[in-house]
Amino acid sequence: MIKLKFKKVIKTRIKEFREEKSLTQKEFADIIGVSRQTIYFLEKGDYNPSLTLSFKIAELLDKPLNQIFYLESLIKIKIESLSLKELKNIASNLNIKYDKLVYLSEIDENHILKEFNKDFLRKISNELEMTYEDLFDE
Amino acid sequence: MCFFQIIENFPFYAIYQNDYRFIIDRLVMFFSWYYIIFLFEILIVIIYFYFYSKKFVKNYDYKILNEEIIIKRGVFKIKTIIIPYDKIESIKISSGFSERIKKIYTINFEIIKGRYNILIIRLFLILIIILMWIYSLLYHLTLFQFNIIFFPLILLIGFIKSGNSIPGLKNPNIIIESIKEKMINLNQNRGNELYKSNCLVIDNFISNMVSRINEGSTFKSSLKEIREKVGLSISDLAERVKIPIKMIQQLEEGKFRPSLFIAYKIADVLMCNVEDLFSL
Repeated sequence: MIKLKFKKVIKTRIKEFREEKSLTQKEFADIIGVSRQTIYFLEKGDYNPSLTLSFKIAELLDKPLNQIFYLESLIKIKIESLSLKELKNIASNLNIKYDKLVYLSEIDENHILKEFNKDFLRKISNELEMTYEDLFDE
Repeated sequence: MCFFQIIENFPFYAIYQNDYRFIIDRLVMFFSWYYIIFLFEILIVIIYFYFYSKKFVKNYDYKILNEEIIIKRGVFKIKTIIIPYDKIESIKISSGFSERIKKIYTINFEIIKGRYNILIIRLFLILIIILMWIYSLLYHLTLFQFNIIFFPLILLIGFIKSGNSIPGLKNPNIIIESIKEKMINLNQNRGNELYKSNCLVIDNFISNMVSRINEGSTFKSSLKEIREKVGLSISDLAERVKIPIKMIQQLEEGKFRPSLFIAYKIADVLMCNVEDLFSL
C-alpha cells in the first residue's frame, strides 16, 4: 500500500515563551551556554538543534518539549503564508474552489490519497512554485 | 700550511735571524693570493651591502589593512607580498646582532610556505660551502685558507631574511597591537558569517560531538521498548524515518545523540512523545 506523507519542518514558539519570561536573546543564550546567533536562527526556524540543547531550552522555559517545538507540514506553512487573493487566483487556475486548497492544509495525511489524486497534487505543488518531492514523501 | 706554521714563519722571526731577503719572501707569502681574495671579497660585501641597503630602504613600503598586510620590497626585482591575517601562523619579534647595536627590531610573520623557502635558501648556501670545502681539500687548501676565502659567504647565511617581515622598527609593539586589534575585529565579523544557515549543519554536527564527549553515558533512550510495544522491526522503523539502520541501533544503545528533527520524526512514527523516547 502506498502511503503518502507530508514533508515536515520543525517550527518553534521559543520567541513567545522567551518574551513571556522577559528574557533577551543574549541573556537566554548566556544561560543555556550557546551563542546569540544560535538563538536567533533557532527562533527563525533555520536551525535544527541537538536534542540535548532542546531539552535544556525546555527545562529553562518550564514547558513540555512538544509545545516549544512542533512539526508542521510544508504545504500548510506555504498555504497559510498566501493571502486570500492569491489563494483564489491559484484555485481558479486549477478549476477548484479555494476551500479545497485550505482543506489540503488541514487534512489528516493518512486519508490524503482518498481525497486527492496524485496528478492533482503534482499540479498543486507546481502552482505553489514547489516540486512534488519538496512537499510529499512516499 | 696551518695557522701555527704561519705564526712561526712570521717576518719578525726572520728579523731575529738577520736575514732581510727572508722578510721579503715572507711578506710576499703573507699577501699571497688567498689574503688578497679575502680582502677583495670583504670590500665587495661592504660595498654591496651599503648600496643594497640604501636601495632596499628606498624601495621598502608596508601597509596594514583590515584584512591583510601588504609588504612591498626588493632591490633588483620589486615584489609585493600580501599576507592575509588568517594565514599567519605566528608573529615573531627578533633583533639580530647588528640590529641590537642600534636597538632596532624586526617583526616576522611566519607562514608555513615562507619559512620553507628560507630554509631551502639557507640549506642551499650551506651545501655550496660544503662542496667548496671538498673542492679545497682536493686542491690542498687548508681549512684556515678556506675559511678566510669563504668567510663572506658564511656571513651571507645570516643576512638572508624572510620576505614576510617588517625590519628596522624602534617600537614593534605599536604595530603588533594594531595588528591584533584588526585580527580580533576580523574574527568577530567571521563569527557572524559562520552562523549563516548553510553553515549550521556543521554547527549541529559539532554540538552533537561535543555533547557526546561531555555527557558520556548519561543519555538514556527507551526507544527499543517503545518500538517493540508498537511492533516494528528496526529495519521498518529505519525505512519509515529514512535514516540508516545503524543509526537506530546506536540510538537504542544511547550512543548517538540525535538532532531534534530526527527525534521528532521517530516520535511521529511511533505515535509518542519525544520525552518518553529520550531523556537526559
